[in-house]
Amino acid sequence: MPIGVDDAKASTEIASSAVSLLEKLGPYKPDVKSMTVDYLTRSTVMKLLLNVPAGIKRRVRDIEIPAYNGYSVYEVFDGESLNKLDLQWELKDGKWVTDAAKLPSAEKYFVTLRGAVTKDALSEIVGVFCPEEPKKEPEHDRYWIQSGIKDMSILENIYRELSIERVAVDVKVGIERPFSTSIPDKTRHLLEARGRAEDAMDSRDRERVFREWINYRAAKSEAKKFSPTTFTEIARRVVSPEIFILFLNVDEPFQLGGVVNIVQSNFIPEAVQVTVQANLNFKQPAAKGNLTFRKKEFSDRLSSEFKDMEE
Amino acid sequence: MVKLISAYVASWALPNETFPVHLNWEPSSARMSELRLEFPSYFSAVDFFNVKQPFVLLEDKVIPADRLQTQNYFGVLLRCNKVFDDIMVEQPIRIEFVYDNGEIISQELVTRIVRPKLQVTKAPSKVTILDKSKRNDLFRFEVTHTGLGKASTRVRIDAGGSMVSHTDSLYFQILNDLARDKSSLIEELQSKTPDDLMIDPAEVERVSKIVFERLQNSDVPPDMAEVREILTDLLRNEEAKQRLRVLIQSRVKVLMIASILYFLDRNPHEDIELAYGKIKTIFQAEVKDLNFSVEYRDSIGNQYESVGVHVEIEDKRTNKDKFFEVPVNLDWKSELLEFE
Repeated sequence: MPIGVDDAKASTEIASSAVSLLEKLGPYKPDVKSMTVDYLTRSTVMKLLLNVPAGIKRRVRDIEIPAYNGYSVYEVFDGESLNKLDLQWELKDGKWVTDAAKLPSAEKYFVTLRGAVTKDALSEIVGVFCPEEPKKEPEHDRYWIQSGIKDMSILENIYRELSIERVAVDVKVGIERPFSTSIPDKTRHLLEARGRAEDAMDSRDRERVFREWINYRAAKSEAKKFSPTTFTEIARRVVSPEIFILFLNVDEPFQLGGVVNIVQSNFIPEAVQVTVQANLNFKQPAAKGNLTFRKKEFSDRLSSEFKDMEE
Repeated sequence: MVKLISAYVASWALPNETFPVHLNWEPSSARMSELRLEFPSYFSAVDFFNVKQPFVLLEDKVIPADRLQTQNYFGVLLRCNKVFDDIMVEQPIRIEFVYDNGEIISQELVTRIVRPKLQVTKAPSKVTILDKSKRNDLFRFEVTHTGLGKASTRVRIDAGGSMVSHTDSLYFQILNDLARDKSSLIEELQSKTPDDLMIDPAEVERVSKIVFERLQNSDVPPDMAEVREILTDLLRNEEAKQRLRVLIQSRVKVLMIASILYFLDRNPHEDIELAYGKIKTIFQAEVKDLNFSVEYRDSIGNQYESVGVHVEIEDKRTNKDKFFEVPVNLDWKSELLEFE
């Protein structure tokens, strides 16, 4: 019995729209110099060389470039002097149009087109992976990370200079444990005493209420400066991007991108989403490495902040 | 002949978790005819990288070279469909480059299928309940976590009585308060708590806003239909809405403490998450035995065989009809799984 993928996939949106664009530009003998896809901004940049000989310029009034999939003309350089041209492009009937008479005498032009890519198209051309669970070591949590180009048909169809930049892998880094181990004993006692006192209130047993509040008072005198607000402030501060990033390492070719705090419970962050990025291209179609969370150092930092709160 | 730039397989995966494999090599003039894959029969190939679509991997697991989009890279996404009893099982994956001239170059990779595993490592075999017994010390179990991955656990106690979870969700608590006599509750709350824990008013405002929004969106557990009705009534009336706001605000402080405690209770140990916090069991009638068991799943939902013990109980209390609440103490231990 066959195993694996049996559904037919059309070539990606990015490749097919680029191919149809090039077909329409046929008269100008387009030569694609490079194609860059930016994963984070979901945009593409195509650099191509167009031939517009004097004959064409005389024959046509306007130079037209089809506006496929949101492609627009970003820059045009004179292919001989390499000067940037100041051309007015107008969108007419799904085409970008400029006045042929305004072109200089050169025959070759470098044109940069910009386009947009849908999320679906991106997920068809690259795959990003990380594990559900890290490998735990006494001082670190390690996550494997991998990303790879899934569909190289753009390369097949157009040109070898394809790069997909800032391909992002989102890793959910768990921080529950460093949190619960770094809460100092006195604070923990205080919280537990308060919890018991609140429970006693619910029971309406006067003797029990009295006894638990005495216990709570005693615990409070041990941790005078504690307040739930300070506690949650510390919790929020240590998982802010600028602090949390100090406790992360990532292997090359990956680089740390953003850090987003995911507050799942009501006051305590349970996990942090860390984004790592790598550029992929023909030479490096896949990237691999590890993201390391230095949890012991993170826990030490938390402990010292919580201790300050107690004293 | 083939010059590999990188050969990669993810080091570990849980059962049913997909993981990537890739090979990247220098393009060369030698003509490759096919790639042959070898992996265990209980693995499946979920997706392919750099392979012309549509593509179906047949049982011989061969990828003809002309199916590759470019002659320098191949990737496959695999998944292990089997759950093992062992906490870590090494799994070989082999990829062979077969050339036109008959030469075969083989690349071996190894991944590990891992899992969390719980064991009850300490438990009493027999417990005698006397009138003077200290309830807190009667039942104590030690559960040890080995392997890799968080275990989301649910503890079950079967002793002919009922089991009570100590920590309900926080919002659930508020809703319960609301379901009780509303006006007397508000008065009670306003006069109740000594104000010695300083709370930033902005924090109070922020939290009450969240609570209020959740209530307004009818974010209420389905078994609390009655409360939902009360709330809907309250939210229709501006004055009642204001009272509700006061109530929520006055609960914020309690809520914050409960939240921190709840968090600590739920995460008693590395890699353990309890479905609820501390557990008590209530003995209502004479019981002869107690079954303690722990059900658990990993983070992608694989359910493992539950672990448990049977404890014989000798109830020597003079009045056995009396309601008797006993906390069940759980100690958690864990051993880290080591591999490179």
